[in-house]
Amino acid sequence: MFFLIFKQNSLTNAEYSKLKTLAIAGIKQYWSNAITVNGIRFNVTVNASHKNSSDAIPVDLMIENSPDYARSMNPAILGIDASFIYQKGLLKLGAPIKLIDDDFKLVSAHEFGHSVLMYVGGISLSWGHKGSTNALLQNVKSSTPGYPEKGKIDLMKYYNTNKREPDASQRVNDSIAMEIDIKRLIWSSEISWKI
Amino acid sequence: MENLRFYYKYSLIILIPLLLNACTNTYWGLIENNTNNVINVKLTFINEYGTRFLELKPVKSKESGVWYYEQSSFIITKIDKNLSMVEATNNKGCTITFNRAAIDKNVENHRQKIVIKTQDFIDACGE
Repeated sequence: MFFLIFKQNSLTNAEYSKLKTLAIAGIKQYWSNAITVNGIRFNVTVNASHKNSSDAIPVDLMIENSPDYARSMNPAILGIDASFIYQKGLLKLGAPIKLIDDDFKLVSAHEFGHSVLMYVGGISLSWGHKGSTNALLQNVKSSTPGYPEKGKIDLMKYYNTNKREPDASQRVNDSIAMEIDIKRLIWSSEISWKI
Repeated sequence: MENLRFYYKYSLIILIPLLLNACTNTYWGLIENNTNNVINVKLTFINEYGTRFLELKPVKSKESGVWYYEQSSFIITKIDKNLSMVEATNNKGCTITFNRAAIDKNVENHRQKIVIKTQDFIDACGE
């Protein structure tokens, strides 16, 4: 169980409830996976929960009403809140609402992961998206591959869309937190293993 | 010292969003099917890495197919700069083709959205 403080800001109660539910569902969906420890396979289920306390990750839930895609972020430093942004404005372009919901779940899971990577590996691992981007400018490195034609997509890496663009459902369906990152998440919670 | 901490913290608050948005922006490209039938859509992308094709899932009437791309903030156009051709085929086997000039014209009023109309198929294949 991991705790986040979802801040309502100017959202209505209905908007806040919807976005909080989607974010929690997204973290569970993309961060639950199987890992192997000492040759034993474990199924890991990650549950995020809202908790109003100082040790929870602070998250501003926001809605972008213009059709321009607003980038969510989680610098995971110095008390700066994460921003999980719901792209409502894409409805004006005719984007299906399910895709917008799914995108928000995926983005929430990715941004949550920045707190994990920052805790275990600092800025280069977190802002650098596990080596796939330059840490400060966030642009993909020339060596970064395009999206794979099939198979799993690393939730915490960037891919070079100039080399291969994904279709929208590929990112939603095939992204997953890699085993190493789930182990990092467990390690960062300082669990003692008893086997 | 307290002042220094204050300026450091708030400089970062201002700087980080700027940096995060400085280089690339994320866009969704949409193909809106404004006909009365399902259409199949094939996109062609050309850039320095070569030519690639992407077939969208069949797009139902009055719905939109979506692809995802990133490009620099410094590019003025909203539509994917790599998109060089859109081919749409209806259930009668009629295929219409938009080259880059036609794509640019189509998105003039719709930003990242390409709208395919019944009239496009009539113009290409007749009634």
